[in-house]
Amino acid sequence: MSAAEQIPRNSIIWLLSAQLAVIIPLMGLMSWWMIAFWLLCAVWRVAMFRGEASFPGKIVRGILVALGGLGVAISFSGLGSLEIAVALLILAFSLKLIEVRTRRDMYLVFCLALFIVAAAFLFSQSIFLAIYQVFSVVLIITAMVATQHSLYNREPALAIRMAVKLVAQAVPVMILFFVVFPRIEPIWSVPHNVPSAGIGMSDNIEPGDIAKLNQSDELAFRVEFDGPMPLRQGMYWRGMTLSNFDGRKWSVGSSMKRNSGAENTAATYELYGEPLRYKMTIEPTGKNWLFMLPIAIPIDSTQGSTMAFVQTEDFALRSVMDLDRPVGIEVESYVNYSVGLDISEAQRVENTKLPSGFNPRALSFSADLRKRTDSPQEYIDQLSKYLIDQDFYYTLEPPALGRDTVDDFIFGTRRGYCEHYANAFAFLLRAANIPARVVVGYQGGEINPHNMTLNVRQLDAHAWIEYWRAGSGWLRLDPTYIVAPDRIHLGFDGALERDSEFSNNDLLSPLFYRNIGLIKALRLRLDAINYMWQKKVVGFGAQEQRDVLNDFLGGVTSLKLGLLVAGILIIVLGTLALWILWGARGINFSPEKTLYLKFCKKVSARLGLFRAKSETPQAFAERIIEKYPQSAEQVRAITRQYNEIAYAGARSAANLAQLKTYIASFKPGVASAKL
Amino acid sequence: MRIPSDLYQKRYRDRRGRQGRRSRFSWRQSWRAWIDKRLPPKREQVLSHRNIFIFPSRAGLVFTGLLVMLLLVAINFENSAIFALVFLLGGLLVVSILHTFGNLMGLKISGRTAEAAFAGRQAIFPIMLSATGRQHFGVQLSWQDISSDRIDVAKQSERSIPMRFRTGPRGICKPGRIKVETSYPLGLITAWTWVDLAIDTVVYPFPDKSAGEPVSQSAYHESGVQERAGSDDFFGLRSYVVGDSMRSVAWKTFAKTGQLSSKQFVDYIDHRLWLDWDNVTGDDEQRLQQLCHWALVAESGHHEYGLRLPGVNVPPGRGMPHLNILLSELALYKLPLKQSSGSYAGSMRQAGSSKPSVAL
Repeated sequence: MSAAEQIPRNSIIWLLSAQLAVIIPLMGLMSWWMIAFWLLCAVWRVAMFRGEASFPGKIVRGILVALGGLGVAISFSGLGSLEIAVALLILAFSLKLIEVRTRRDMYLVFCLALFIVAAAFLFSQSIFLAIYQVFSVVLIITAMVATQHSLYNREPALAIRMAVKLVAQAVPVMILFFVVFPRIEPIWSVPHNVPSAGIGMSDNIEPGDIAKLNQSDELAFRVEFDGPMPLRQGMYWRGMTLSNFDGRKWSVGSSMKRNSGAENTAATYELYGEPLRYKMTIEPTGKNWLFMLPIAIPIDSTQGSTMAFVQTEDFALRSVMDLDRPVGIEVESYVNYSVGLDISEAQRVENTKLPSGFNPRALSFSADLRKRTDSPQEYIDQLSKYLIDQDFYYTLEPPALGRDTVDDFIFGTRRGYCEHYANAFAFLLRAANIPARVVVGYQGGEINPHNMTLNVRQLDAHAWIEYWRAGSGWLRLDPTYIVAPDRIHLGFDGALERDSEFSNNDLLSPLFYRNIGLIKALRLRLDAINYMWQKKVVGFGAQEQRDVLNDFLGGVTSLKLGLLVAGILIIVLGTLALWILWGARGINFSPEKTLYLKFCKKVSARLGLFRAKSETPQAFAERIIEKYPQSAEQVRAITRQYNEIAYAGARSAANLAQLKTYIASFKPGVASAKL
Repeated sequence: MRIPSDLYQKRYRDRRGRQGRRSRFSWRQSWRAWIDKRLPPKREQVLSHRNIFIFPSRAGLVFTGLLVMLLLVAINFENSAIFALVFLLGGLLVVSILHTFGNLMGLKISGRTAEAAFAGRQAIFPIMLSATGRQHFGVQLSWQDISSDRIDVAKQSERSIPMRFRTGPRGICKPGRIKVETSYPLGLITAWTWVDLAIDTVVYPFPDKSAGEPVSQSAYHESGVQERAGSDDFFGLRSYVVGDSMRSVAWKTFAKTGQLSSKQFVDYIDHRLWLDWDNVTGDDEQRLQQLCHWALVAESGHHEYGLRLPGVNVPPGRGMPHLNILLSELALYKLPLKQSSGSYAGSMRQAGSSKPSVAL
């Protein structure tokens, strides 16, 4: 290896830091042994660097590759191909570290590093990651710059200064191309990253399921209303109806599986009044349920080309494809409606079915109550009254229930959570032969005052019921509201703030810190920024591009677009070029020096006399006169004038002009009559 | 120490061959003609937009490939962040073109004549890099297959780089164009130029050791009479004769034998060594190589030595300057020289002792 191909030591240090930076965002994805693997390679590299270890031989490398491959095969066996690809990339990246010998090898590592930076974006595109990755890129670029330095460069800061400068200068080009580069359809379909299971609503619930969801403050979706925001307690983000009850578990029934508009459905409905119009940005769930204010109708024009929605018989919205990336959708919701005015027999049966052998005490309680009431409505009122009168509590940490969940809850613990109430209420309604079902979704949300968006998080997950009444159709009833109105009025957070009984007193829980004033303000501010980012940058697609360019150019034509691109490029790069080349141009001489150098040039060209670097103008003049006495007068005059201006403080426009004429009229080697 | 003769022959033939090919059209020729016209030889050159070439390096092409791949990923996953990353990296590539170009701009390169070398050995040319307005990083010089380290030149400073150059056959060696290149800052773009610094050096024939000790035609060996009594060199002993100086008595002999003897000294009239073309055999090149060896041997001896070639006569002398003059005559023997001011050796003679010595 020639010295020219040797890797400067600085660049190895920068490379190691860049690698660490690049791996950190993917820590969650990697297994512990992969981090250990990288660490081993890094330590090895440092040892080589210090001359304590040598390059690994073929056998050692072979073993490392085999071990790594095996490790990936074992720890990633259940995961998607994307994870495996990224894992292999990181392995290759780690191994390459102990293999690089020349500058050329370094570039392979740099390319891998940049690829991994991109790969991290497949898992998240948040603004925080984006900012972090700019930092990673700067480190990688720094390592590249350090690679190009002399082997003896001892100033590592030079490289990072240059890298920051380069990245800053590249940003205008990036912005330009980001805006104008055509967003074309995917060329082939690719596996998307599906968020880890467990987050988000499932299509069946048992008591306790939603409580788990409520531990998470992960965002479910954001809503931006076109007009004024409706009251929060009215916002029931309806997801699925669960009609199928097996005694313990509620799950999706047949009407959720049928689409509205299909044959033989009872999907008759009437909508009243003006709809609410809003735009939702839904975080990926890996499932296809959407949560809307009923009855929601997607607005066609905003549908992304790859998204299509279906309305079920129960007026829930489902997307045709699983939500594997953030999706924007604009909908209109008619909050005044009546649906299912005429219920089919099959539906009635399904929604009143109770498996026998469960909750005997509740059944007898229900029979007793029915005897005392005349109408279904009175039955429901009495039931509500019972909830209020008796000692029921709303709590995040309810005691465990046995086999007969309703019996245990109503006559035993009396401490529960939304799904406990929904479960019990739906059961008791069905026991009285009133069609009833559990509905899961989200309730309320948090209003961000910075951008007036509503953020609905997993902790807003909620369960309530719908029952059927002749002449009115399906009606919503929220038993939790009866027990704990604050939960609905103030939202989940509000309930926590007001009532310590609800509080989760676990100091380690992130929920504990959610509402400390300063943190809350900061959180909302960051959230607004992140939403802006999601909307303007992450969500920048073909449609947004058209809008922006239309706004900017007033009608997009290829000519206008071409001129825009060329114009911006010329301005940006031209400025940069001028700046760089100006810097390279040489020293800025004073005007008299410039003139004097002209004189020296004249002398050297005509007389063949060169002024030595150390020679003073006076000494040079003597030398010229010695050889060409006929020029003595002129040379003396010029030298005197120059010395006057440069050293005697006689710099003035007149003196400079005088010097200029002297030099212009100077004829080397020719005697001058007058000067 | 000796270069393989086939290598020597090959080089020598190459030189003739090149001359033979000159009549025919060749790309190399027309390229040379073009670049000679564009970048004429000059002792000192300042790099500017007129003489810098620029192109993506290998790493740059790989990097471009990476960008294309990432762009495909961005399109297929409809991932805005990756789009942004691709355009940022693309922007870096574009911006680095300017920086790489700027890194060579204003760099001043000048050369000095190298010390003489023996044919086939390396001559070392000191190449000066001077920065005026800005600093230059990672500049690399190369010719033949020899390249320098990457050099950083700080603002308003000078660096002298000793560039080795493998010389060809004896004569004047002009290394020709030197490649000055840089890939700073990112290594993705390479800017380079070939400058001819109009530097040269004299290449002595490679000494042929098989020539042995110099054979001289000096009169001493043939006639035996060109001597007279003197005080320079010890000649022999003779019996003491009254009147001999006491200082010339060989006291050691007296101690051993008890007889008085006087040491005899003589001065040689002409004990100078003539390295003569006629005393060596073989073809011209072989003769020159043998004479070269002789000259080196003679310089390490005690006698003055001179050189006789057909048409060339260097009077005897001693010392490094003399040796260099003599070797230069050998180097340039029968070679047509384009220099107007007489033979190269002639100019060296004028320069006298300024020519430094040769290390073998």
